[in-house]
Amino acid sequence: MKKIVTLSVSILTATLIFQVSAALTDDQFGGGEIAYSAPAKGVYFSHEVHVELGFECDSCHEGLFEMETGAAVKNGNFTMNAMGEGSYCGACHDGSTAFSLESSCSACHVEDGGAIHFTAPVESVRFGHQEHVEMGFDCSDCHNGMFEMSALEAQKGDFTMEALYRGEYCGACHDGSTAFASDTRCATCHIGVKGYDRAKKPAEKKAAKQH
Amino acid sequence: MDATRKLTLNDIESEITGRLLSAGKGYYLAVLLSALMVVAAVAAGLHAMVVGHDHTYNLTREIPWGILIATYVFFVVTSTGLCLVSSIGHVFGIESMMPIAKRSVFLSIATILAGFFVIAFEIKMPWRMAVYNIISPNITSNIWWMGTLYGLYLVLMMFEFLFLNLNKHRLAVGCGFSGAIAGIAAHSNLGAVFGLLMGREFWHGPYMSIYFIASAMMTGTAVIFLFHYLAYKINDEPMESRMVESLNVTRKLGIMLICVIMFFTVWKMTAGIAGQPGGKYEAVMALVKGPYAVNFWLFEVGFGLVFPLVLFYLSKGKNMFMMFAGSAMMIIGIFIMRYDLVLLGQVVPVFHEYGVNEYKHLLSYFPSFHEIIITLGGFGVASFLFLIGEKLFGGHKVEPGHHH
Amino acid sequence: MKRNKPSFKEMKNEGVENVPAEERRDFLKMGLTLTGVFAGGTLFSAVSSVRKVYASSGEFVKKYPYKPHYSMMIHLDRCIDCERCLSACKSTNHVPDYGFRTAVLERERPDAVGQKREFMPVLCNHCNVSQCTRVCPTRATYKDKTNGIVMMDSRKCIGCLTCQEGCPYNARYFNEEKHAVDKCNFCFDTRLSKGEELTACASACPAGVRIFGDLSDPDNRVYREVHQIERAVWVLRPEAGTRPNVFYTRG
Repeated sequence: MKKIVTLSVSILTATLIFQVSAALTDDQFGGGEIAYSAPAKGVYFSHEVHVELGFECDSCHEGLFEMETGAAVKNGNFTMNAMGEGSYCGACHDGSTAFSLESSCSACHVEDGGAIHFTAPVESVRFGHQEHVEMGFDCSDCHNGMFEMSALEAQKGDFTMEALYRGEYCGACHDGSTAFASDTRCATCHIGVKGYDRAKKPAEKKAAKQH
Repeated sequence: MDATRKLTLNDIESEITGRLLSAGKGYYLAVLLSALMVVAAVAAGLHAMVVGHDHTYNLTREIPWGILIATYVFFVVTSTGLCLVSSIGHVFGIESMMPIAKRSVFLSIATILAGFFVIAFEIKMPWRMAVYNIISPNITSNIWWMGTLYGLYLVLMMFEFLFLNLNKHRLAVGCGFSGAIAGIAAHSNLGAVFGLLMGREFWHGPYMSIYFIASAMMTGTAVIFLFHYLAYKINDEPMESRMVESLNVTRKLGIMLICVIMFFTVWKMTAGIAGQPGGKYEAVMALVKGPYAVNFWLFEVGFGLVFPLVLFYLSKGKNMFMMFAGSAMMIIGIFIMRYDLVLLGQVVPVFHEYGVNEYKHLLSYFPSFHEIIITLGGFGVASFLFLIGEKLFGGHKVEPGHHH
Repeated sequence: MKRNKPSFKEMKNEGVENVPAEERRDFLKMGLTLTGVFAGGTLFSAVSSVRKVYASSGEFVKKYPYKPHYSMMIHLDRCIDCERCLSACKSTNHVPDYGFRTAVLERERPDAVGQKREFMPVLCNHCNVSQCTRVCPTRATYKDKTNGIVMMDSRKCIGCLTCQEGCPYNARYFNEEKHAVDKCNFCFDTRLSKGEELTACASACPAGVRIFGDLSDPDNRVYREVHQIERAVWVLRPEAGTRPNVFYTRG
């Protein structure tokens, strides 16, 4: 109940304040659009959406988030786990006040991880988010403990073919029934040093390598 | 000069000095220019050896042979051609070809030396060749045979020239005959250097050895004509009727050989297109309508064959300038023929047929500054020796009736 | 690939039955003594010919010209272009940056069903009928009489580069520091002669692509893989007639 009262008051206050500030700045909703690139990239937070829902600045900028853009990232604990414990976005996104962290990933994770190029234990393996999303997979199908949202996190662990054969990582699907077995079609994912260079290194290097 | 006259060293010295000082300004300018070209080439070649060929030549792992090999081939083709065409007269006794003998033999020495000059800068360690060609020969190697036989050929041609000038005709004929045999053997081995490489479809087969001999004779006629024309300009003399007649026979021989090479070219190209033989087809099409089409149609076909054929025919053996223009065009065309021949064997990558990214396309090459300078140096050597030879040997006069 | 590769389906009997047995025996003996291997043909025909001609496989093995007969089997589909072989080769054999003794080539087929990419490791094929050794004027490159490795004697190399022209596998390059052509020698000087059993590339490969071994030893894996009817084995550029000792297979 207290929240609803606060909400009504804040709507009034916010309307007044923002009508004034709108005249002074383009950024009528405080911090505008925030694009996070760490720990996971392509995460967007829209001040506009939240302000229009009726929140005022100190709804969040009072303990949950610093005013400074990117401060949450610098804290080092801006993770889904922390949010699950009620920090940051998790304060509201708990499934009652706002949608749960467990659902609607793409509401905030607007961009997928793009093409991931693993460089260990061997060079170089490509995972394409796009191809897998187009097949109808949802983020949480893989980002359920199998892969961290943070790129290349997997290669710091036991990211080996043996692990895949045991059903870990890619091997969860690439078992020969859900998707092609991970001991076949090697060069589909293993694009090699050449594939890596093509994707990552600027065109000049390629030109130099040609002759 | 009467060979039987007793000469003292002083006589020889004054005779030589007298001859060398008897020319016009243009001559000395040409000698100076030739000498400068040689000096520049030596400088470029030594520089390349010191700083490394990979920094100075535009050659690659896939195209290790460039314009210098082409130039070498051009000069040895020319030399062999001069030897063969001139031997028709003084070795095989065809009277009308007699007057061109001495100059042609001299030029065959000059051109092979130009070839050796260029190859010395093309081969990375020529000094090792001098040692290991002798102590570690490989008799299955066409390069070894070619090198050895051309060495022998050079010696025989030098003796032939010596005996011709001493009027020792029996010895001259012996050397000339052996020289011609050595030249044919050496030259067909040069063809085999290319022709016996199994992995190089454009070259592979017996064609190269046969073509090289026919092509040498065609080149010989052009060079004989060109240099005789220039020689009479340099010496500022009217051409004797015997010489005019001799050159007319050379012209006719030239017409015939152009036709032979046209025939060879038609079938070489047809064989490369019919049935699209792998490796060969790509190279032949690069000549017909690819990056080498201008080289092929304008230089090889136009300058090398068609234009000189027309000019030789129209000159009727009387219009000297027309024949000179024809032979000059022919030499330009033939040089491009050698360049294309060397290059086209290499532009199709050995792994082309596997469709791998690395070797999907034809390879390319363009000579570097160093390579061009050394190439010009080769021409400098030939022209310097020609010019000096004209004065030193008094216009290579062949007196009538001085054979057999 | 433009060139026709022999395939089981298209194979027809060429009517060897009509050739008198003695003649056929001589012919095959000559061929196998020269080649020592099944290069160029399909294994099916080669193995069955061996059975026809030799009383035992032992007799056939004697026909390999070298002992050990070093060779390499490349499992093409396993190569992932991690290029550990290339780094291992470079550091073991001091190969400069501008050159290589072995390379991994890449074939892309966007219209392929399933996998659309394949990597193809290449190196000196240590051919039994080696062009490079035939064309070398000074015998600077030669076949080792005991093990068949195509070796270089750098001191004798004059740098004419005819061997580079003759090689159908682009296996040679001019090494400016050595003042000679340089090439793969199956790590003979750097590893094999020091008691190692594998080449640097084979030992560095994490995927079992490069299987190095002795083709004359029936217990050796290379021997066993080459002498299988079920396995398709081929060599590169068989039309060049070089009878290579580097084989390719999938699976």
